[in-house]
Amino acid sequence: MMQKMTVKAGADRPEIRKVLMRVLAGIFVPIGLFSIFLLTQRQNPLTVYRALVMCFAGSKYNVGEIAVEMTPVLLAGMAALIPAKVGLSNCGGEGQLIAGCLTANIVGVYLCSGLPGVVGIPIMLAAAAAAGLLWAAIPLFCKMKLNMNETLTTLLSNYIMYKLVAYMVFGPIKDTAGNNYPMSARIAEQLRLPAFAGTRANVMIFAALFVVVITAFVFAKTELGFKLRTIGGNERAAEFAGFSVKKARCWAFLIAGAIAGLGGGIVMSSVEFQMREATAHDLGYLGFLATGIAGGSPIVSIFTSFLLSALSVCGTSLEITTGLRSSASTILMSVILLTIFGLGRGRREK
Amino acid sequence: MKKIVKRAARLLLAVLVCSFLAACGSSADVNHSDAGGTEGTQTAPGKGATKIGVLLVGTRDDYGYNQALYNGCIQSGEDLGVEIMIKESVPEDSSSQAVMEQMISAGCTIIYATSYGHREYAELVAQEHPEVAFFCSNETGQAMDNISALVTYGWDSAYVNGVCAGLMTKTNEIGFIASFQIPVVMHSINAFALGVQSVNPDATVHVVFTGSWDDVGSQTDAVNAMASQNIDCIAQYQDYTKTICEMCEAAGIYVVGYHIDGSDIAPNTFITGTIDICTKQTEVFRETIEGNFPAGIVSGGYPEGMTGNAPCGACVPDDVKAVVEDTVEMMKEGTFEVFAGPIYKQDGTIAYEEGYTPTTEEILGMDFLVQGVVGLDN
Amino acid sequence: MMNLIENFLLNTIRSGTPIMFALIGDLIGQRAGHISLSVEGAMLTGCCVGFAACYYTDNLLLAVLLAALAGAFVGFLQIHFNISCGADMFALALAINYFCSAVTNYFGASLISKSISGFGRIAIPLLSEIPLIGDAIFNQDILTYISYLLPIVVGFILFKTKIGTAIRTAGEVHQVAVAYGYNVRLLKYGAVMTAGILAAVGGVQLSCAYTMTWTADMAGGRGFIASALVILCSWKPGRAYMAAYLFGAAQSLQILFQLLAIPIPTNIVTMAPYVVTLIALAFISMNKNPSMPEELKKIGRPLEIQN
Repeated sequence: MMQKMTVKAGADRPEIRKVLMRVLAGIFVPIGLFSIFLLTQRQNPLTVYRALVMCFAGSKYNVGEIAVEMTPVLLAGMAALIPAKVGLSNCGGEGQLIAGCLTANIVGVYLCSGLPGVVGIPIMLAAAAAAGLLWAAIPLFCKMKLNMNETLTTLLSNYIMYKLVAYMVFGPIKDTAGNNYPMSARIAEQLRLPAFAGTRANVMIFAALFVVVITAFVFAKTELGFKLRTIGGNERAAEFAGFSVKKARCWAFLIAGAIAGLGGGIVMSSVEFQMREATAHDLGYLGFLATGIAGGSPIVSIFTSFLLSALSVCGTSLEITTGLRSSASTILMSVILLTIFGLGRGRREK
Repeated sequence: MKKIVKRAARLLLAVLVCSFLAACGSSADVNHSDAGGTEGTQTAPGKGATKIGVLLVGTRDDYGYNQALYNGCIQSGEDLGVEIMIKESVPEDSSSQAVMEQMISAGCTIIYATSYGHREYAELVAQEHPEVAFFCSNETGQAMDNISALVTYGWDSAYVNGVCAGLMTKTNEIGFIASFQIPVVMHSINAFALGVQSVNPDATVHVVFTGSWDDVGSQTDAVNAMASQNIDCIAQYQDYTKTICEMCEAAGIYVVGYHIDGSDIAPNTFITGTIDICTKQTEVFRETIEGNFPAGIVSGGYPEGMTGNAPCGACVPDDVKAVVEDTVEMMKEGTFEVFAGPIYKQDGTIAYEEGYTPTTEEILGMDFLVQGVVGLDN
Repeated sequence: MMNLIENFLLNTIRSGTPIMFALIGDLIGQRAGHISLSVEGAMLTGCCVGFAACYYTDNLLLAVLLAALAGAFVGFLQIHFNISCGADMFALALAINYFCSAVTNYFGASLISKSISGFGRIAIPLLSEIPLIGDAIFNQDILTYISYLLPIVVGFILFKTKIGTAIRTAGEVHQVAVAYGYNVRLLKYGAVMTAGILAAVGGVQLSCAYTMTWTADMAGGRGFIASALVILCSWKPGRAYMAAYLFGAAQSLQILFQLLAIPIPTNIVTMAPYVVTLIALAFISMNKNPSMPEELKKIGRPLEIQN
């Protein structure tokens, strides 16, 4: 470490060159690998990449779709990032997000159906956040009182949430007026967030970005953020400095749950409107992944969330226009992810 | 902070370079907004379509429902000289809506959404695009001018399966490996059970729901468990059906197939099965392209040729074969009603009174199991 | 009734075996201080590679070897990107799982309709004659027999041999391991790659012995569960029997409940194993002397290894 620092000051040029090399590698390694794959599959890589880029260069709708996908991914990302900053790991963004989605639907259908949107939507979103918070509180309780590893309890709680939703849509909340398929009733028209013309995106993408920026600000610029970072960095030192480690961790975890739950509520009132067995699956994991490749920086996670969402949306249009299998676009996404991980923080600790 | 900037720069650059590459590659200025050849909104939906978008809920080679659909649609594309655009693994949530929109912007003016879970989202897209013709796989939903449903009355062939199974069983215990407790599965189980009871009133049908369309582990466990329960004939409503056929062959249990003719996988135990569920789309696509969109519903069972049974396997004796063929003939005439009352529910209460024949809507929303079926309806 | 119990045991063991492999594999990895959720991807890869080898060569040993090789590669991705590139181990595992799923989906597509003869069941003379349990336990395929021995062998290696001590030390306080002159980096690579190998062999059991089938995404979360179940056996290989078969039992109960028409909703029954694991976890965590490797407590921070 020491050696490196002394070298660094006088060696800006090689450093820049190194960064550039890595940028180029980050772009060309996945493109190259995927091109080889495409060539072996008798596809013209240029056609494929053009289809990918045309996807959002040429269509307002697709840009909107990226925003739709990105909103919950960003929020779920924050749900993973905030606890990580204080030394906890929350793999349960997925379950917390779905808890929010489910609750927003139940509240929307059974309590708010008669309310105007300006009242109903905030109630739904608040309920969703509360549900995410409560679903996070279970593993938190297990951690604090029973000293259980939160990584595993949150992971398990995701599965329990999947099954709970399945049970609910096959039983208690199945739409009785519908056709007996496992779906809940739809929330009323006025409870759906109005979309920008020509897209399905709505104002909530800015809300999600706002949450991220606030998070970044709190951690980077405020005293609270300093305390939290100290707790995450060195528990002993934080205790020594008189910070309440336990309390801070609890709040961080609960807030994370609430943010993920809010994400679920937004998904419900923006695009889904009804609950099904697979509603909102994988969004939480994508968020977790987005912060994972962002290396714990909220601002970078905006870019990574964008990257993941764009890949998912453009993968669809790639498949439609080129006739490739759906697994092909997942291969591209995972190769990009692995490349980013591979370049990642590099060996900067050495 | 410096790190952040670096990483951000890297990503931005990635996007820029991608765009640049694409710009180099793109020779023509593609404008999607007016694609699709919609001269006026007054024309029939889907008229003159050159591209058909198909949404599959699984992958194209799942050896089951999706594969049957994929092959059927590719064949239609060749027959009609139109381009078929496929999106696999479309989940049954709002992302199907985005897929349909993307297909339309790619020029599709006929959309075939093949899973029941896509219907609600197809309705939303159909409102926005009156010029596009939509086909769904379930008819329950909002009636619209540009939505049609391609519905197979699968209970016809399920009944024939039941007749065959009822005659083949020696222990009078028949298994049924189902996926989910949803109407399309429920009425198939019921029709199967009624078919069994029509020829063998003593037989019981034991149903197990695996909670998945293709979890081969659960399928294997279910076959093993059924074998231990003295069950000597197993029917199924699964998507991926090869494992069950193979397991039954290995255990010497008669098996009823689904989607595929299993006689080459289970040469000694395959008795019959439901096939030919994707026969109608070429015809309706052609009508649509010609400007005669069949709004509402295109449905039918045996008489319309929208479902069928695989020929009886080698293990089926001639007298059973004869009865099965007679039943098929009866089905083809179209006068036989599978669910004609009296039909009793599991607990003995009456579902359809004597002399009452349920409407198609009632059958398509069925949520109970009939008497003589052992299993859980929720 | 006899039949029922016999079948319950059979299904429990058959559905518990793939989990047993992945569980023991990840246990070794976790003992070395590294949780590999990518055992899910390794298992899936093992399913596909094993099935492909079985189909094309009909050589069972080759199937296991090739699957193990593929599993080792998955394990290598997991540990290399984590230790050498500083990637978050859980996010990385998710990416690896996407990768494995996509690649096997793509290249395995043509195998879905294929049939194999696979691993046959071998009855052990005398033992398989025991009423009730004989047929279920001692009339199995060779991989299942291996899985019976696996916890004992791994337990022996971890606790009675020098290399086992080294692995455990690397997972407790790696500085100590370094001080003893062990190559911690190598130990961790080895342990996590072993996790990949064992999970892949579990995958072979799943595709070539248990179901004789390859379908897309057939691992279906079994690897994830195995990873969580490691905690349930509190990092002690001997308890793997309980953990793996508990899960297998829940799977087979789900079917049996329906056959016996016991009126519990299916989704509640399938939820049970997760809830049971969670509760069991609570009891284990309340233990005053938990055997959790120290390095696992530091998860979420970059690993810094000085050799």
